[in-house]
Amino acid sequence: MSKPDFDFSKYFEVPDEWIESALNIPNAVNTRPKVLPIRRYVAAASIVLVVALGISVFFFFGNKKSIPVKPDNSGIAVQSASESVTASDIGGAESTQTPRDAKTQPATGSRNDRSTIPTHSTQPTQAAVSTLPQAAESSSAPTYVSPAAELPQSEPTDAPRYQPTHKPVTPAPPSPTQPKAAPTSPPATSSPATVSPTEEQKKTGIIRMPSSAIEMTAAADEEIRLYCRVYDSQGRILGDSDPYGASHIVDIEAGSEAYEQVGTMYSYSFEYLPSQVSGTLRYQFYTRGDHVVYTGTVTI
Amino acid sequence: MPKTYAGICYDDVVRTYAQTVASVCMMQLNHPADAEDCFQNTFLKLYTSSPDFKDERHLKAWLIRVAINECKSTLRTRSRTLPLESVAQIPVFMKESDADSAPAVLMRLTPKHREVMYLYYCEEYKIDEIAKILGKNVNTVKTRLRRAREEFKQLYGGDDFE
Repeated sequence: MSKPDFDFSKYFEVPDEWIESALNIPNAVNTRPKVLPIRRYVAAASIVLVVALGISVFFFFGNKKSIPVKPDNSGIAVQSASESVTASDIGGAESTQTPRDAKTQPATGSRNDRSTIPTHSTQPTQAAVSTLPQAAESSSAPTYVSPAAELPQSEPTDAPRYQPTHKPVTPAPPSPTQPKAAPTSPPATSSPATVSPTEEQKKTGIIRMPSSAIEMTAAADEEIRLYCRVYDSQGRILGDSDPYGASHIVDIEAGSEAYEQVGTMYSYSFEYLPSQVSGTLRYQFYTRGDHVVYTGTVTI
Repeated sequence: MPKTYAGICYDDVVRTYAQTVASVCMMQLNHPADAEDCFQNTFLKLYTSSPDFKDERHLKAWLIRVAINECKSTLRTRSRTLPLESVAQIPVFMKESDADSAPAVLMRLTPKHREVMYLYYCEEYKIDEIAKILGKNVNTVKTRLRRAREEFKQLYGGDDFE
């Protein structure tokens, strides 16, 4: 067989019409009116517009400052600060009660006698009976314990957050931002005839409650936070453990030792002015959502 | 002032390379109408784009490459339809007596093998030049050419060409 001949031109010759048409291309191109590519312009303008709009929106919202977070100076915070005052803040301070203030003390106690321990009954509405703390320890009843005996007497370095006042009737609410009050001692250069003003010291009361007295059901691994609130005889709140803060009483976990152990005590301490508070106080143990689980009374 | 391409005016370019471009188009498409469209588009691009060419060989390679790309674009657009001419055993531009000729057998090869064989044997390009025109690797072109030869031998029956 002979060597194959791949010469295409032998079999296919270009038609003359094709060549003429190709030769007429320059004329056709030059005579054709130029049309503005409006679609391209519109598309390009749209892209530019969208990009510019996006950038402007970005900068507009980017310059907006976020909502400023103010320091928490609300009442809750103040209350938390006041509650954080331990009994040692006032435990070592010399009381400056006036004789009139002393009248509000229980008859069995003197000015510095902080061992007066009123107790209350285990029943919510039952009147409390005064007992000694030794008796309260052995009893399963919730007790009101004065912290004087168990708290240190030294003055803490941080300032006390209560405001001493000469008008015990309308005590100023404690504020952590408030400057520290001047000591209650009278100025040394004052006239000896002037009677030095006496300021009332707050007292800290502790309510203790056996855990067995409160029956609560908790699911597995459920954490129940218990809070306490104390009212005076006129219904005013003397202290609250601040459900929104960290000063809850205790965490109860189902199955935990604290939950099942008999004799575990829930305790809550609050401060009061002896001149303003007297008689029977009412307290409540409650869980989140103001679900009261226990109500009791205590007599000061 | 008329445009020139590698020192050649447009009309001379058309007359000189019309046969080459037309053959490429017919080899790829085997359809006179589509081949004419690709032929015209190839020279239209030459005129509108006006690229710079080093020499005539560069110009010819550019025309072949543009013609092949135009044919592939046409093949993509008509991929859903199959022209009657493409299924014929004999190319439309040949007589029945030329059915056993080498170009007729070449037209029966697969498109990839056909274009490599055409550029190598008809246009007498080297392998590296074919690789540049097709935008393929040299080894790819070699492989395609070897397989195209084997296919051509089976159809043509000869074995005395390399």
